[in-house]
Amino acid sequence: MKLDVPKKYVEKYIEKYGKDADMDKLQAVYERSLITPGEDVGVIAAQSLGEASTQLTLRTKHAAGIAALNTTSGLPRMVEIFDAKKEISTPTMKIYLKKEYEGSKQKATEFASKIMEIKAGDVISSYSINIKRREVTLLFDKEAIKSYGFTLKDIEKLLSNMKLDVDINDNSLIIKDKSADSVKKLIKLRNKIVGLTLSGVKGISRVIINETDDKKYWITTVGSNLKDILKMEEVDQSRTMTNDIIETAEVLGIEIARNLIIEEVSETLENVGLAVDIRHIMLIADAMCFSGEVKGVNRYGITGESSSILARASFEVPLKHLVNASLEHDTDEFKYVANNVISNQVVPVGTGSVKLISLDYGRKTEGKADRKDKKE
Amino acid sequence: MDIDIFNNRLSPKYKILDPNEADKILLRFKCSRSNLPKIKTTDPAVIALKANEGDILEITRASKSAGEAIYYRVVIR
Repeated sequence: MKLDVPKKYVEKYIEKYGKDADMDKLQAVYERSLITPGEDVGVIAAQSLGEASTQLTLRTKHAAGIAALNTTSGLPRMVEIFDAKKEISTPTMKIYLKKEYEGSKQKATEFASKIMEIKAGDVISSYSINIKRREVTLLFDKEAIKSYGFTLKDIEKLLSNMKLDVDINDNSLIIKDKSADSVKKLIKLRNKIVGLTLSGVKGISRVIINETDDKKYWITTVGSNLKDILKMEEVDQSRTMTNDIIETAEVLGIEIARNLIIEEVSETLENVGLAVDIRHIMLIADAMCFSGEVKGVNRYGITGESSSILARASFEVPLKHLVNASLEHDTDEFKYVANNVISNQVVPVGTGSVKLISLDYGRKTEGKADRKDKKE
Repeated sequence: MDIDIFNNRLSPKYKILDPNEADKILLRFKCSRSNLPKIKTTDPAVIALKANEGDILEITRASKSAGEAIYYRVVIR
């Protein structure tokens, strides 16, 4: 079978040797450079990343007092990505603005203050709970409210929309809840109000404005909310990204999440000065995204889906898998690497993945039966 | 403003294969639909393309190692 040489290589070949260069030679070189059938690429990928990760820092660095962000890096970040954690420890976004906005500092600052989430808790200075009258009194910081640019009435409106009985008394709001029959319920009510978003985008707790060399402004954030940010008019959708892979898969799809895994892993490794070939990372990212959702490389994810019992048992919590398998009367066909290693047989990898068959006409050979389930 | 997922810098190009092309692909790889990588009907890309369950998507990715790489995914529920 003739394989198509990628355009990238054809173009470079023509560039170097001219238009009437020998294309068959390129074809031969390309085919020779491909990975051989039966090569254990997964094991090699695992080794390549495993070796590099021994040199990663175990601890997240904390730079106190510096305006720059503290993003998880090194080994903790790698673990986070490969485990496909739903809630990552330092979600952050890189927000790029459209051309009309990114050139002016004022516009960038305006946008930054627009997206920063301000919770009711930020403007409340104290509160009290009256059990007898079943009400919560919240004392607001007048200056804080003023500096964020809204009034006590706005907050009252917001609360009345939530079908709460609200009264204004000087600097404080009195919220009555007749159905509350215990202190617990009143405290719950208070917590609900404190966590209320007054303005901004939910989840964005801090905003930092960055400047490039050619006087363009972009924004990094603490906290991530891709869906709401992308919907905003000022944002350049093509470049704005988050470092939360699961969120990306939900908002932008599995393919972009797969590309983000590759980007995040190579970035994490590059930051520590390690070089791992991108093909290994691509393979792992593809394996993680195979089923249509991002699955971690652990017993809840892709390893747990393996059809071989012994392969699953040799990875994590062997007893659980063995007991379950014996209860369910499972079979193991010894098709994969781990179970063949355990049982001291030839591993179906490389030269072990092919079998010798003799085509002896008229006679039924064992090989023929075997050949059916072998891939070519 | 609506989110245009195909506008993203990491987005590949998608194409829904018609039944003829889909059969050709399955024949070329000598496999059935269930062996192909999957994509869910709830995936934003599938919703935007209006693809149905059982369709095969041809995904042209920008690849750092090969320039351009073609990948296939079957739409599942």
